[in-house]
Amino acid sequence: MRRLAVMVVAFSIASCATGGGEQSTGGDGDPSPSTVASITAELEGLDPFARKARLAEIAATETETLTLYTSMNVDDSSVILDRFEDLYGIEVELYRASASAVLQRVLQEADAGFVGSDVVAVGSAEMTAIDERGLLHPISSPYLDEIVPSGVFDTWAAVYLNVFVAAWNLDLIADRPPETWEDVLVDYPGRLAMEVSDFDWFAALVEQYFVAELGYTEEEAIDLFAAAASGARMLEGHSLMVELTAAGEFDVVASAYQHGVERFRASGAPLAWEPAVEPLVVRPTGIGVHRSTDAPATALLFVDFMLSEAQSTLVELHRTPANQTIEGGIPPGYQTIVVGADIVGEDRGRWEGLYEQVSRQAAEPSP
Amino acid sequence: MAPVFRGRLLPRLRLDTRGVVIAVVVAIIGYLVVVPLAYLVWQTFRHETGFGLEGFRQAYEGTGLGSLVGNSLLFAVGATAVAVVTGVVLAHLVTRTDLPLRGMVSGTVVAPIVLPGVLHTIAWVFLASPRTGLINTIWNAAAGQPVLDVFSMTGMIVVEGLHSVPLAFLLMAAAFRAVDPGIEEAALTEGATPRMVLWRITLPSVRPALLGVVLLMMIRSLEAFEVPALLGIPARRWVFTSRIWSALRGYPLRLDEAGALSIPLLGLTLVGVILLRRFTTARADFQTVTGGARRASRLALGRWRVPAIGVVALYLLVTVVLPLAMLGYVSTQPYYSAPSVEALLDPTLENYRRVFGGDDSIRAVRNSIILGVGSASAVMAMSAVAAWFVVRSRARGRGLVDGLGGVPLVIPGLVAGLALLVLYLRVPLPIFGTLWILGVAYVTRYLPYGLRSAASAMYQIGDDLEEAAFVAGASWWQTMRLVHVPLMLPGLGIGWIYIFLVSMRELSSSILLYSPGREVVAVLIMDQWLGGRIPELAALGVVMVVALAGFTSVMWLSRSRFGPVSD
Repeated sequence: MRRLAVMVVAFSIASCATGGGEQSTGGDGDPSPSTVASITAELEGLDPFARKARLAEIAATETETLTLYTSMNVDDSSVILDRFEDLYGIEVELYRASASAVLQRVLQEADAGFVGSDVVAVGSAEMTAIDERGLLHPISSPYLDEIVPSGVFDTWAAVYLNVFVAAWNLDLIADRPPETWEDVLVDYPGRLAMEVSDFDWFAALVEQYFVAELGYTEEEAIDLFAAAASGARMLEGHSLMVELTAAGEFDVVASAYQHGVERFRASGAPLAWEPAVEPLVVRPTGIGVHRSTDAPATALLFVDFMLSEAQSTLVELHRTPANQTIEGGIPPGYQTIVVGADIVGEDRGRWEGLYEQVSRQAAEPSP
Repeated sequence: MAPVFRGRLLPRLRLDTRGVVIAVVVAIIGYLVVVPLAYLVWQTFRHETGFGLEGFRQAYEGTGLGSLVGNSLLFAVGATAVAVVTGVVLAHLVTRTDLPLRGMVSGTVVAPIVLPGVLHTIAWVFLASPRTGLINTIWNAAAGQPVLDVFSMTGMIVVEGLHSVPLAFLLMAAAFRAVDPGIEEAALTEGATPRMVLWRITLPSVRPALLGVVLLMMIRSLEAFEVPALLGIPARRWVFTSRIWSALRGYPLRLDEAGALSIPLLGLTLVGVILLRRFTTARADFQTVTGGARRASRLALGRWRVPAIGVVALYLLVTVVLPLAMLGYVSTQPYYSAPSVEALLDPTLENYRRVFGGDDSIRAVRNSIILGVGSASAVMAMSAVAAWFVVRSRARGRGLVDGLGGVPLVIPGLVAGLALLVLYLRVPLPIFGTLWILGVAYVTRYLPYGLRSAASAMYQIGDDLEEAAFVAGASWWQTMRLVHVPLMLPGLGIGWIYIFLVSMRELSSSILLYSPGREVVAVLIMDQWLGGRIPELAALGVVMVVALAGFTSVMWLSRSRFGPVSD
C-alpha cells in the first residue's frame, strides 16, 4: 500500500515539477512592442489611405491568423468579419463569449504566458481590467479624433456605444408602459427581469440620476434597487432577458441592450423601448491590440477598420457608432448618462459588491 | 499458484503483460486524478498576499456554509429520489416483466440521455416557466395558477431528477439482467408470490448496484452545473456549483474562493465513495453469473398490466414527447414565443437552414463526436483492466486504485476544467488550444463511470470461472480476453455508450477549455441561449435528438449480440 502510494505521489510530483516551468504553446509571452511600435513608427505621417495600403501590404506577409476575442454576438460579429474579409482578403478567427468569460480567458492566458488573442473587443469594464494588467498596446489610429471623446483611452478606444434601455412587452402593457426609472423598479413586482452582472448600469443610475438629479441619498437609491431585485427575476444574458420578455414571461426588462431590442423587433417581436425611460445609460464597447500579438500589422489594420469602415455596418446592425462622423444608432435628443471610468476602474470592487448584495436580495426564495 | 496477488501490493515487477498493463493503467489513473486535485487544494490556500484562509472567508461570508450545504443536500436528495425510484421501476418493468413493447420503451426511456443538460433544462423552461411554459399555460386555464415553477427548488429537483433517469435505468437494467433467474423461478415454484420474489430476492440481489446508483446520483446532483446555473440562480437557490461559477466569473478571478467552495463538496462526495466501497465489496452471495445454465424468465403483470402501461406512457409523455414537441415548435419560429395556433400556422425553416448551413453547428457536432468516441474507448479500455485489479486481485493497493478512480467524481466539472486549463498551459504538452485538452478532461471526469460499470459487471462474475481458466492453462491476458471481457461486455458496452452519450452533452469543463474552432455542442447551445438565438438552439436540439436517438436505438438493439443473455 505504502509503495503504491509513494509511486503515485512521486509520479505526480514529477509531473507538477515539469509543469511548474513556464511553457506556452502559442506566442512566447514576451511583449513584441518593437514590432508593433516599429510598424507604428514607419506609418507616422502617412495619410489614412497610404497607411491602410502599407498595413495591408505588411499584413499580407504575416502568416499568423488574426484572432479576435469579443463579446459581440456571433451573428453581428460574423457580418463584421465578412466585411473585413471582403475588403482585405484576410480571414479572422473569432472567439465569442460573454464579456466576463473573455476577460477570464485573457487573464488566464497571460498568467501562463500563452497568447491566444491578437485583438480584444469587449465592454469598458473588461477592457479596463485587461488594461490594468498591462496586456494592451498603446492604441494608435488616425480615426481616434473622430471617436466620441469619452470613448478614447490610452490603450483602447470605443467601437460602438452600448445603450441600456428599459423595454417592455407591448401585448402585456401597451396602455401603461413605464415612464420613469422609478416606475420600472416599483410597478412590476414579479414581472420584471434584471441582469445579474449589470453593476455598471446600476452604479451609473445611482450616482448620476437618483443621487445627482433626484436628490436621493446613495443608501435610498440602493434600497430602491434592492426592493426591485427582490421581486424580479435575476437572469444572466441580456439577449435572453429580452427574448423571454418578448415571449411574455416578463412585462418589463430593466437593462436591455437597445440594439438587441431592435433586432427582435425586426423579427416581429412585440417589444418597445420608446417612448424611452430616460436617462439612457451608455457604456462604450472598445477594441485594443494585445501587447504580444503575432500579427501586429493585421491587428492595426483591423483596429483602423473597426473605427472607420465597420461603423456603417454597425449602424445596419442597430448599434450606436462611436465614430461621430457616422450617423445612426439611437435618435439624438435623448438624455443619456455615460458609465464613468471610475465605476469600471478604481471603484469597481465597491460597486460590484453592492450590486451583488442587491441582486441576491430575496423576500422569500422560491420553494 | 492461483493468479492473484495474495498479500502483495503489486506483482513483483516482472515485465509480463499483466505487470506492464496494470502498471501503465494505474499510473495514468493516478496522474489524471491526483494532479488536478493537488492543484485545486494548493490554489485554495494561495492568495495574493500569500497563503491563508482568505478564500474561505470570501466564500462563506455572503451565503453561509449552512445554507449552501442545506440547499445542495436538498437538491441532491430530491433529484436522487426522483431518478432512482423512476429508474428502478422502469428498469424492472422492462427487464423482468412482460410489459408490452419493451424494446421500444427501453429505447425511448434512454433517449433523453442524448440531450445535453443545458438543452434539457431549456426544454423544461419551455414547459414550466411560470407564465409562458406549455404545461403551466394549460394548467393555468383550468386551475388558475401554474402547476410547477421551473425557477424554484422543486423545479430544480424535478428537472435534474428526470435528466438522470436514463442513467439510473441503464445501470439498474444491467443489474436486473445479470441476476440469475433460476433463483426466482425456484422461489416461485415453492409458492412465493411475485411480490415476495421482488422484495426478497430480486431487489436484494441487485443491492450493490442499487446502492451504487443511489450514491452516483447523489454525487452527480451535488456537482451538477446546468440546472443550478440556469434555474437555481434565478430562483436564488444557491448551491456549491452555482457559487463556484459565480466566483469564476468575477474579476479578479477568485480561485481561492472557488477552491474553498469545492472542499466541502469534496468532503461530501468522499463520504459517498467510502460508503460505496463498504457496501460493494465482492461477496460470493452477490455472484450470480456463474457457470450454471441461464434462461430468461419474466414475471407476468396480470392485473397490474394496465396501470404499468399507464405509468410508463405518462412518464414518456412528460419527459420525452412534450419536451421534443416544444423544441420542434420553437425551432419553427422566428423568435421564442408561447405556443399559439397562429404561431403554429406560420412556421419557418430558417433556423434549420442556419444549423445546416452554419459553420459553427457542424463543427461543434464533429468535435463532440470525435471526443465522444475517443474518450469512451479510452475510459472503457482502462476500466476493464482496472476492474480486474480492483475486484479480482487481492493486492492491498486495489482499494487505493478504486478510491482514486472514484475521485474525479469529487471534483466539480467547473473546477476540474479550471485546474486542467491552468495545468496544461504550463505543462510542455502541446494540447492547449486543441481537442486533446478536452479529451483529457473527459477521460478524467468519466473514469469513475467506466470503473463503476466495469466493476459492477466484474462483481457479478464468480471466482470459479477464472479458476477454471487457470486450471485449463490460460495466462492472465488470455483469461481477460476470453473469459472476463466477454462476460463483462454488457457492462462495458453500456459504459461505453453512456460515456459516449454524456460526453456529447458535457458542458461544465468544456466551457472553460474550448478554443476557437473547438467548441462542443453544449457550449454552442449555452452561447445560443445567452445570446438570444433560442429558435436556432431548438433546431440544433431537434437535429441532435433525432440523430442520437437513432444511434442509441441501433446500439440498444445490437447489444444482445455481445452479452450472454438476450431478452
